[in-house]
Amino acid sequence: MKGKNLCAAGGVFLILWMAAGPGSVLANEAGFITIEPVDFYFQAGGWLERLPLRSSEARLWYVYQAADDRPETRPLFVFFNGGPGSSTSSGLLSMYTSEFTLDNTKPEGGSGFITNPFSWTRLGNLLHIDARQSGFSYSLMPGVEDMGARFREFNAQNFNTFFDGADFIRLLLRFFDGHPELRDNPVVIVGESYGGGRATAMLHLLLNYSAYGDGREVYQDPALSAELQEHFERIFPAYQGTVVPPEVIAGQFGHQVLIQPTLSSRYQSEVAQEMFIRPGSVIHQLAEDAGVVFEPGYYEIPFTFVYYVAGRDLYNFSQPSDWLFGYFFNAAERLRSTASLARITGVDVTGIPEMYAAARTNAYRVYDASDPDTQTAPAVLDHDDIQFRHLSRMEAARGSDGSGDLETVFGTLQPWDRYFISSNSAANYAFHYYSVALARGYDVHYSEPRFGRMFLKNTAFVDTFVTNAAFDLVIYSPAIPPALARHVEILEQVVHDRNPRAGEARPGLIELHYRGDAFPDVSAPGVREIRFPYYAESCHAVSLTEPQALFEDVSEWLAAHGLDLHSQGGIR
Amino acid sequence: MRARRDSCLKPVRRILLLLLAALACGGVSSAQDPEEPSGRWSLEVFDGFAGLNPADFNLLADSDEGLRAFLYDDLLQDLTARGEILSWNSQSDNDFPRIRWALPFGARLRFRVLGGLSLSVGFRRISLDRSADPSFVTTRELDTNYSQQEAVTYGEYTLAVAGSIPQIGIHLRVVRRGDFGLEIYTLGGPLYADCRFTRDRIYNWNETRQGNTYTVFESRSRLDEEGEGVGLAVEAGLRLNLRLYGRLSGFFEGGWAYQVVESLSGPGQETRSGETVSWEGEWEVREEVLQMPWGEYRYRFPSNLQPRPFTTVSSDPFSLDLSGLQLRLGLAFRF
Repeated sequence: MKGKNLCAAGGVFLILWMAAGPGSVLANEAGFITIEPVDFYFQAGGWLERLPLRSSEARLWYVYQAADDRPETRPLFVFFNGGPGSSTSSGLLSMYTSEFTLDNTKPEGGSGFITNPFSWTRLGNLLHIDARQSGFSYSLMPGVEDMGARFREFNAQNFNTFFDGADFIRLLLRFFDGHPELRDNPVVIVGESYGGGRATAMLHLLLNYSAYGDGREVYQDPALSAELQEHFERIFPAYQGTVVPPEVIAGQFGHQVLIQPTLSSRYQSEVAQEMFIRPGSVIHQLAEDAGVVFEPGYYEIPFTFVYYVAGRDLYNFSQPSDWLFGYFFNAAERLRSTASLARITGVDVTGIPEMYAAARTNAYRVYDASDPDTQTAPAVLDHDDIQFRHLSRMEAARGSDGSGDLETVFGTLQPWDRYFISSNSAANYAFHYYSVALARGYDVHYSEPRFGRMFLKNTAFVDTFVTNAAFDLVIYSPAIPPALARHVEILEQVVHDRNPRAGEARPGLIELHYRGDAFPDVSAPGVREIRFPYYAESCHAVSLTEPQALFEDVSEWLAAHGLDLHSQGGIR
Repeated sequence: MRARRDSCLKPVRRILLLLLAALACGGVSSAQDPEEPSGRWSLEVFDGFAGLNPADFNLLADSDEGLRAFLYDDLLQDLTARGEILSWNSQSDNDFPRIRWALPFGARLRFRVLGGLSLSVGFRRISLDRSADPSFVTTRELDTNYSQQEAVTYGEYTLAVAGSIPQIGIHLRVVRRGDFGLEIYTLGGPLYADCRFTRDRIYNWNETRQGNTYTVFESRSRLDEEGEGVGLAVEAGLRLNLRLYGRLSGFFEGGWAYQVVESLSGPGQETRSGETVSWEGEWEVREEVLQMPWGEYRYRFPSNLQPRPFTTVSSDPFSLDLSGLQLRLGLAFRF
């Protein structure tokens, strides 16, 4: 019976897929794009000494929603959340960016997805992607029943920010292959939280793609470099056989919208920490509100105090602890129902063959099938314990990590497989701790200043929009400008301009004054502006708390930066 | 631990054969005056020792040794200084091998022109494979119940050089006392040399958490590079002759040889993660700079990889220098 269903579903999918071929009308779709095993390596200036790695095959989940009007002429917005290891499906997809959304007027978003009055489909085509091993995305491996082998999978060969960015680029290129109408459309990258680090890696890989194949960058992925050369030669035919320069590539990948992002994460944390412990800081105010005293010397990290003593949500300190997690868990529960999943994706998900248990006998999502807590390292927990591990622990405690009706529809999975994981702690810890690349001393963690430098180089070519949310402590917005200013090797000055400007409902701007010799291979960028609007009622998930404001600001900003989405002519 | 595998058994066998041949020849010959016309020709075979130091080629072992210290010991010191690990230790076995000597052998045909002056044509072969199994293990303790071990072992680590030298010589007897004679000589000819480097490296990362050890990561890479070229060999020295028995005499000669090849090229092959890349190229001494969070390490090593990687910050010509002291023991049969 299951086999019959699978065949029928496969047939439906095939018909839909064929119908969506070249020349067809772009329509909503959801499914998986397979990323093959990839050979890449890290090097720090030495051919004689490299760290060669090979990733596992992965099926990455995506949801495509066509623009409301003439989608073939509209940009493609690529959405992702952070973590690392957090699902976009229970994040941005469910929080006022796609056609349907949780309801932010109801506790935890209500009992179902509602129509989104601020759907970004009014601006363009939407592509929401679940990162490797998050949300619906899963990986495949031979010998999957061996727990030791599964344990080894959660390491740098599958989880590091460069490869993560490369995963998303690969998915995007495969998506273009299936949607040639969109191949040369502008792409707007929209990342939240750690998604800022991923966006930085993606754009740096795209803008400097040749350096990622010829030994000049620490991450070397020759196959991707060659694939990008092919893509850019199609888009920019004048550059056949030559390296396409970043200012030209920015013609397609020239915009990024970053919601409470990690940009130069270590500096952001250091500056925030300094701000938090100052007298009169936001932490002291929270302590006062709670009727307790905050003694910075007693708490190694202020987050411990905020969460456990003041009882406030780190992502929204105007609310009690775990307020935002409630929305994520609720979204996850909705997504584990085929009816809700079909509603938010606009697709009959029973027609997706890779969802079925029969198609994923070699799939895995966790290494220890019995105890999600053992996914993490017992000895090295710090603030991530609160920020991330707690999330998956709570999800399990709440009983909301079940399979809904997915198991009934798609079949029973192997014990180490899951249909949906909102926050995969094993993946998260592979980025932070279980990483042979980090153990070998490569500074490839996204918190390293390397990523701040990469972001600043990207920003020399890419128009950038960063949210400034009032209630977020995890990404503390006031720390962003001074954190960037710590890159004295690149910037002469950083100015946070809060003055209102014409046409901007919410003011805010960061001026980056580049040094003349900021980058040896780039002529002096001069002064670049980052739009930095202030969201007075917002938490970490700005799209959830102020969806209309964010939508309008992005729309206006894009119009002012070469993507006039209001005009009749679209982008072309 | 395994013992070094030098190719020293073959030369020993050669010497034994040489002695047996000498006894056989001596047994059938009759005692004659070495100055008689029938004795103007002689056939000589020899074996011996050559001290040498192909410095450019030995940079391979130097760089691997330096990399080990920088990438492992220095990293762990840095992690300790920053309080990221509680403690660490490292243990290494066997050194990276270097070429320091070789056992040459050869033969020459010699003709006494007049008096004490002789001319010769001959052939000399010099070769050495140095293989070893260097290995090292580092352990870092992150917590009382959590440690990481990195182990690097080598399935093969070989430096090999060889030279073939067809040469002509001039020999001048300067002293003759009874059965003894002393000569000065000079030899010269082209040097056909080759070199080979093989590094089969196995990396393992294990973790021990609460008493359980897991293999987290393992990788293996193999690098083979070869080169050959033609240079010049010139040698000058002294020789002591001793008439042994009949037409047979023995000699001991020692001198200093200039033996350098300035340009070598050849194939190369690298296998990492199961993927093999091949190339053909000229050898150079290249410089790379590793920039890691705890410091910078500059090192030079010879390679023929093509195209030259972007990681190369400078390059110099590579020469295979087999020059050095030559000591040889031989037998001469006059006819």
